[in-house]
Amino acid sequence: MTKPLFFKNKENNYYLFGFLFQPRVKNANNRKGVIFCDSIGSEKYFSHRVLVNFARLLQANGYVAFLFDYYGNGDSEGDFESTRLESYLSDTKEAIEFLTQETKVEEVYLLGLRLGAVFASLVAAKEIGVEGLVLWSPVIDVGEYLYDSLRSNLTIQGIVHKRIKFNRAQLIEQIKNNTPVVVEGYVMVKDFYQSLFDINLKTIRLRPESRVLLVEISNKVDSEKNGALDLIFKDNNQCLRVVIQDDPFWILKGTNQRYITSSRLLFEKTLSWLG
Amino acid sequence: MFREEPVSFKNRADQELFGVAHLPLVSNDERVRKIGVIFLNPGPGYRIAHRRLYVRLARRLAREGYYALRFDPAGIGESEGSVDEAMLFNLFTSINKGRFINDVNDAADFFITRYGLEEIILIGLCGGAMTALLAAPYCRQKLTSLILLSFPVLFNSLEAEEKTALAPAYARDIVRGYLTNLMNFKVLSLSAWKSLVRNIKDRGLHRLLARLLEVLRQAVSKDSPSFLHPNFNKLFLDVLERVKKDIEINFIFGEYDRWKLYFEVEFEQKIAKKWAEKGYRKFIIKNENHLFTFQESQDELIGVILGLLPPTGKEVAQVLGAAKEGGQRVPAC
Repeated sequence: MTKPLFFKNKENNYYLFGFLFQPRVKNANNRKGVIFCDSIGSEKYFSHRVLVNFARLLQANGYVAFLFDYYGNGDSEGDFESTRLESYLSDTKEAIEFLTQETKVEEVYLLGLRLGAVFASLVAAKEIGVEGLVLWSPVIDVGEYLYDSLRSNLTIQGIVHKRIKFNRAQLIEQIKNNTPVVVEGYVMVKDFYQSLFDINLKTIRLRPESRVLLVEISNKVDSEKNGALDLIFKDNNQCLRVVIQDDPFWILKGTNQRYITSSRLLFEKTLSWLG
Repeated sequence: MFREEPVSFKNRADQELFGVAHLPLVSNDERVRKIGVIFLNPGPGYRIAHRRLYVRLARRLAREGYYALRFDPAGIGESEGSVDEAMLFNLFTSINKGRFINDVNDAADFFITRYGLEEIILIGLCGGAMTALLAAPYCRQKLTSLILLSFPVLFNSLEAEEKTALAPAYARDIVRGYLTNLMNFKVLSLSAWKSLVRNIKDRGLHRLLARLLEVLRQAVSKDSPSFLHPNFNKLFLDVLERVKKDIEINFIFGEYDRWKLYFEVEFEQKIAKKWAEKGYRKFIIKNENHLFTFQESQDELIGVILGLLPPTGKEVAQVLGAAKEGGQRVPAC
């Protein structure tokens, strides 16, 4: 059964949207639930169908899968500009609570994509009851990620003003001085930026018993990037690091590219790791 | 105030489609008209649309007393079904040929029956705009208006784009772009050179040079209004002819959307005179692109759309209080 629903973030008193994929078969996997921690903005938009298809694959294999939208994202309540690190973490915790209360799930796994992988890691580091983490192409340095995301603002400046009026460093200054900046249609405000920019996945310490599958998805061999994986959770001896050569499905550059709705190797690897 | 509920329904192919309905909280006063607005997914994108545009629009419309439905057709979002096209432009082409029109009409049947609506309006962005127009003649329900954002009059195709003999208006637009880049010292930009190298690798130097020469040749030539673009979607014209006279057709473009230029050159300059008696309205949102990125422009867009919708008579009825918690309800943001 696939069920769309709203559930409440009781801590913050707002509603979040989710899709619950209940297992189609009875087997030992029925007690395992996978909560998807999505990315944000355009990455969320372009990767949506891939996540849905993996949720369906989990469902077909007996797992419970739960896709939900953070506050101010997707179909959930609120505007993006009101979101902060705290709201993302609180929403993830509420999703865990909802899933364990609404289903017979005994083991909860968090599957994070890009920035969602950072949120999943932060929650797993603090919450007891997260059995394992699956991180798909996690953002490592969030400050760098936010800085990169400002490129789209430059493109729009070029179209509208016919020149670049503010470079990225100036845009960052604007944000810090309380002038919101539009990034791919999403408004980045000071509180959002400041709550996130100094997070680095390399500095997050998981509990030693946490199982982790860390996957880098890349369409080219990037030894520097892949080497960076070794620096994440380096104290954790239960972390499996994998590089999968495939197109990054969360990016859309134009219509002359593959329409990606699944990633065979990624799906197989993740499914087998979940056990 | 309004409330929201997730919905699902079967299409005629027995696939389960999912969506979110936005419902105004108004009394059952018979003077209040129940008008529904259905948002059609843009291209391969799902029901929230780029930049969450549909979520913002639908919530605003529900606050103003309209019923709104955002749903995903087969193979999109969480809906059942699959998309087998390997390349994005093939999917765009199939959408612009009417891939989703049955799902739109099934959604309209569901929406009207479920909430007892009196009339409906279709809104779509880009591929969703074409879907709205192509679905209109088949709509079994009372469809009164189409609101078509960033309407694509041409099919997407890289190959066809290269083969296309350019219209002078596009060529001049492209040359203006080259000059702007030069004036902005893009010649010093490493990423611009990387992009050029990638382009040469992908398309071949000889093809790029041929294209450049063609652009320059056309840019200095006179307009030739009788020449129809080879990628022009002729279905668009066929459907315009078949759409009932009492359906209002409204086009809205961002000022800097290249599809606005295509629409003006390929349709308005070359063909529209033939359709003058049909009548349509066109609105331009200043300083905007294809996707209505900026919040101020989205607000302006919402204003234009609200001006195009028939009045619900909401103001004569008493608006109910806040939604109660629980169930599948969400209080207004």
